[in-house]
Order: sequence, then structure tokens, then C-alpha cells
Amino acid sequence: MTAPAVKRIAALAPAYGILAGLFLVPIALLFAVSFWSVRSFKLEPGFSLDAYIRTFTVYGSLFVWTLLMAAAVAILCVVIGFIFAYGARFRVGTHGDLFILATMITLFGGYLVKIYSWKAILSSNGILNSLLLGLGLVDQPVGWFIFNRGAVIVALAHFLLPFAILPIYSALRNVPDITLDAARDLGASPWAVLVKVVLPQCRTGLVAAFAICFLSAVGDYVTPMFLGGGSAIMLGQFIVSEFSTRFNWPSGAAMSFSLMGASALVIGAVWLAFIGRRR
Amino acid sequence: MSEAIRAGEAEPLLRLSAVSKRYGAATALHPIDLAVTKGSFTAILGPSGCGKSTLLRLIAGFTEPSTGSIEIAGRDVTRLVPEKRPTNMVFQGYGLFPHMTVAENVGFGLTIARRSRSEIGERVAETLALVRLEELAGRPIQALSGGQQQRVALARALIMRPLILLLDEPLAALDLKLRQAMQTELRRIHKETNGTFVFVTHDQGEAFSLADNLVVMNEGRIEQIGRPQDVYIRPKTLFVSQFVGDTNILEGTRRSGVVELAAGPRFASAGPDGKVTFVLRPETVRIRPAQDLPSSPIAGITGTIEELHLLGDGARITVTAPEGHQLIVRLPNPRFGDGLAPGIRVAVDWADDALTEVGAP
Repeated sequence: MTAPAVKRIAALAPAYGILAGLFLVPIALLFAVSFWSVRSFKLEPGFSLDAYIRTFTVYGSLFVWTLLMAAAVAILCVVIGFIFAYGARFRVGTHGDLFILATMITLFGGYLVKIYSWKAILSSNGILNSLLLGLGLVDQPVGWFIFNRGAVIVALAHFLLPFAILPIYSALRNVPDITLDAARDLGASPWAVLVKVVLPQCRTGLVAAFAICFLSAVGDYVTPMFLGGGSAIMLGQFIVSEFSTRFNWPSGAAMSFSLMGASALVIGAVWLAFIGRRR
Repeated sequence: MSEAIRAGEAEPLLRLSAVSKRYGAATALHPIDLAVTKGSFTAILGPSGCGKSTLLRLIAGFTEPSTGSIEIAGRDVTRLVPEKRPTNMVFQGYGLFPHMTVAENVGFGLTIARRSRSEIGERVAETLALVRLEELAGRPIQALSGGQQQRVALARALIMRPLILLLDEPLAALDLKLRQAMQTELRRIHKETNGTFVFVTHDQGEAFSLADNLVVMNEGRIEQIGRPQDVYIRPKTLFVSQFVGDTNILEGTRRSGVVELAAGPRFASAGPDGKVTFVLRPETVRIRPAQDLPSSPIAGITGTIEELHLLGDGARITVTAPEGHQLIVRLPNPRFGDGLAPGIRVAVDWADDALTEVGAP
């Protein structure tokens, strides 16, 4: 091995060391634990698929609902994020970066603050109901604004939107204006320009935005806890309880890895559908 | 008789009437009139910022004029969006679609127009053959050289069979050899397609080698329109004479039909009294060593050679007259430079019709 190569490896070693020590090793341990079993609150090493079987028999429909809700959040973020980023890139002249800065500022608000804000807006004695009552549009508070899947999806999408806008905006920045002009010159309507020229050129950004939002949403357990009530539970909440109150680590680990695998499949499918084939 | 001739005259394919463009307080284009006949190859020539690209975008429909109207083939298209106009454009920087192959790029317009797959395939092949890119049909755009991308951009516009093909600095990004090759190609394609081309350039060599109709612009105004050789030989304004080729500017005064140039010579020239400006092309100036001349004064100037540059295909000589007036002389063949060297006294003169009077700048 040449001296520069040794130097390069030495320079990279701390970073990889931290990644391995703090991320890969715990993940590997957790993966091993997912095949263990628990007897009277004690972990017993071994190889059993019980924890996985339990994941799909006990939590099967919840599993699917969690993926569907995360997908809904991600799609909502990508659509709204695209509209916003498109406007910032093509419609506001040179002020586009200011708009993007504004979305960054909303990130300072923090995650829990946003959840509580939505609670304050949507609850039965919240802002929205007060407004409706005050305007005389309803006689008594509307109960279905909160504690359902809609509320969770809206709050998660609100929180994750900046993470969708950023990759889409950066992808759109790389779309030359002149390709839009050229398409129109060749007879494309504004809609055709969008579908055939703009979207295909920024599809990497769209898929990245989808992946970021989907992965953040699928593992979330705080938002459904506050805004979902009993009817919009997500798998993450049960993973937490398996590890904490129930002390069933193998079950929690198996649920985690199942969700991870399913998420990888979803992202992989989206990638294949929008990027993989056309190259 | 004259009525009959007028009736037989073809309507111009493109007609701009009093078209202007303002951006807020700034005027990009003063009201201009322009007519382009079918089958012509028109060059709009001018320095950057002269409004030539604005003019092209107005014709293509990307910019709406502040005043005036634009007609193509007798139809008013002033308010028509670009996608509905019978024009197509080759953009500066090309604007090819990076997510498509060469064939997909070229076929884009027909795909949008929902033509049948077989028709698209046929016309793409035919157009790629026209620009000599048949072999590259399946390549992604990124894999192409600049010259090849230029041809794809050309094919993509030509396949639409536009009434007018607009080209915005089409060759600016290419190196010299490629540029010359593409000029030949453009001339061939213009002939083969029997099209009407309007192109914008800041390169006078390009404009002269391609166009049969030249429009010289400066500061949002058209300075002169005409055949390239006429514009060169008889520039109307000082700007045109300076922008198009090398030139000598001779100032003087006219008194009752006789002009006296500040550099010396006097000659008869009709016109109003006052200050006058004449331009003289360097290649129309004759030069001889002073001792070869008869002693009597001639219509020209005597002076000393200040500089002599051999250019390969000719020589460029700067002559300084006693009062400090300088004159540039161009000899087509360096052999004529024999016997001429810096420091030598020379006599220069010119044929009467070599001088062109121009309007004040």
C-alpha cells in the first residue's frame, strides 16, 4: 500500500469509526435481538421467528396503515413542495432564494411546538372551532377535526414540508429556463411543458423529497400520540412501548426491522418507477 | 405598368410595423419597421445589448411588444403565444432536453402535436439526415459534442417546417473551425429546405458569409438594412461603417460644393454647407512610396508609415500625415508591401467613389 493511500485511510478512519460504533454495531445488535426471545422479562439469545410472526399477526393491519399514512404525508409534501418550489424558481424572479429562506425559518419552530399548535387549532375548544362558533356556522364544536388520521397527516405534512421543498428546489434550479422556452417554441402548452420538460428534469429531487418525508413519517410516534388519539395509531407508538413498558425487545426489534424493510421496498419501488427505467 | 409590377411583388413573409419594447423606463427597442421576404437569409447584426435578441424574441413570441404589430404570412401574430406561432427557434446555448435522446429531442414538437408514431419516426430520420446526424439518433444528449448539439437544436426546429426559422447566435459557442463548417452547413440547409432564416449575431464575418439581407442594429435602433455588400460599401452611418469592418473616418467642411478634409485633400461634393464626415475602407486606399510620384500634389495625402503588420493574407499599414491624421491601409497581398516599411514616406490616395459620406453619429 502506498503512503498516500495509508494517509487517506487514516484520515477517514475516525468518521467511519464513529459511524460503525454508534450506528452499525447497535443496528447489528438489534437485528440479532430480533431473533431472540423473552421469558419473564429476561432476554434469551437464540433463533426464533416468533417476534416477526407476532409483528404480522398482531400488528398486520396497523403496519399497512402506517405505510399508507406515511405515503399520504410524503405525497402531500411532494405535491405542495413542488408547487412552492416551482413558484420560487420560475415565478418570483430573483427572489426565489428568499422564499426558500422563509421555509428554513419555519424549521426553527421545532417539532413539538408544531404539534401543540395543531392541537390548539384543531381541538374541540381550539381556534378553528371558536372561529366557526363565532361566525355562527356551527351550533356546537366539531369533534372530527382532531384525533383521526387526517389530523396526523396534516400535522406531519406541515412539519416535513420544508424537507420536501429543499431537494425539489435545488433540482429545479438545475432546470435551464431555456429548455422551457424551447418546449413552448416547439408547440408545447404550459401543461405539456410542466409534464414533459420540467417534471422529468427534476425527478431525482422529487424522489429524494418523497423518500425523506416518507421515512420521517413512517417512524414517527409523537404526532399520532398527540393528534391521533385512539383512532390514528402508528406502528412507532407500539415499537416504543415494546421497548419501554412491555420490555419485549425482540418484538420491538422485529417490528423496527420489518418497517425498515417495507420502507426500503416502497422507496425502491418509487425509485424504479420514476428514475431507474429511464436512464 | 408600375401598378402591375407592384401587384406582382411578393408580400413580405414577416412584417414588423412600428414594433418597440420598453422595460419600465428602459427602452430595449425603439419603434422599428422590418420586412423579410420568403426564402431570404436575414442577419441581424449588432453589438451586445443593441436589442437584436429582443427583436428575435418578439418575433418568436416570448416577448410582447410595447407598441406596433407583427405579421407573419399576412396574419397578425402580435398577441399570439410562442407555441401557436409558425416560427421555430434555435436557441443560444441550444436548450436541448437533457432527459431525452437525440431522436426524442428532434421528435419532441411532433410528439406534442400528436402525430402518428410512424410519421414521427420518418420525419426524425429525414431531419437527422439533413443535419447529418443519422448515426447518433439513440444517443443521450450529454454524450454529444458542442457541434453535434448544435445540429440537434437545428434539427429539432427544422422538423417543424417553420415558416421562419429563428437562430439566436447559433454558432457563438463553437470554435473557429467548427463555426466555419457549420456556416457551410447552414447555407446548404437553407438552400435544401428552401426556408426563410432570420439569425442574430454580433459577428460580422458570420453575418456576411451567411446572409443575403443584413440588418445592422445599435442601441435599440436599426441603423441600416440592405444587401451585405451594399452595407459594407455604402454604410449609412458612422456606427455601421465602424461596426462593419475596419474603417477610416475623415472629417472636413463643405463650402459651396467643395469639401476640404481636415487631413488636406479637397474635392467637389454636392450637399449642404457645414461639417461633414466621410468614411473610407482601408482596402480601397492606394499606397505608393513617395519618391515614385510626380512632384505635383495629388488628391491624396503624403505621410510616413507608422506601423506595418503582415496578416498572412494581407498587410495592414498605418500612415501618419504631418498634422497627425492617421489612415489605415489594407493591402490584399503582402507582396504589394514590398518596398514599404515603417519610417518610409508614402503617398496615399483613393478613387473618388471610395469615399462615402455618412450622417452624424
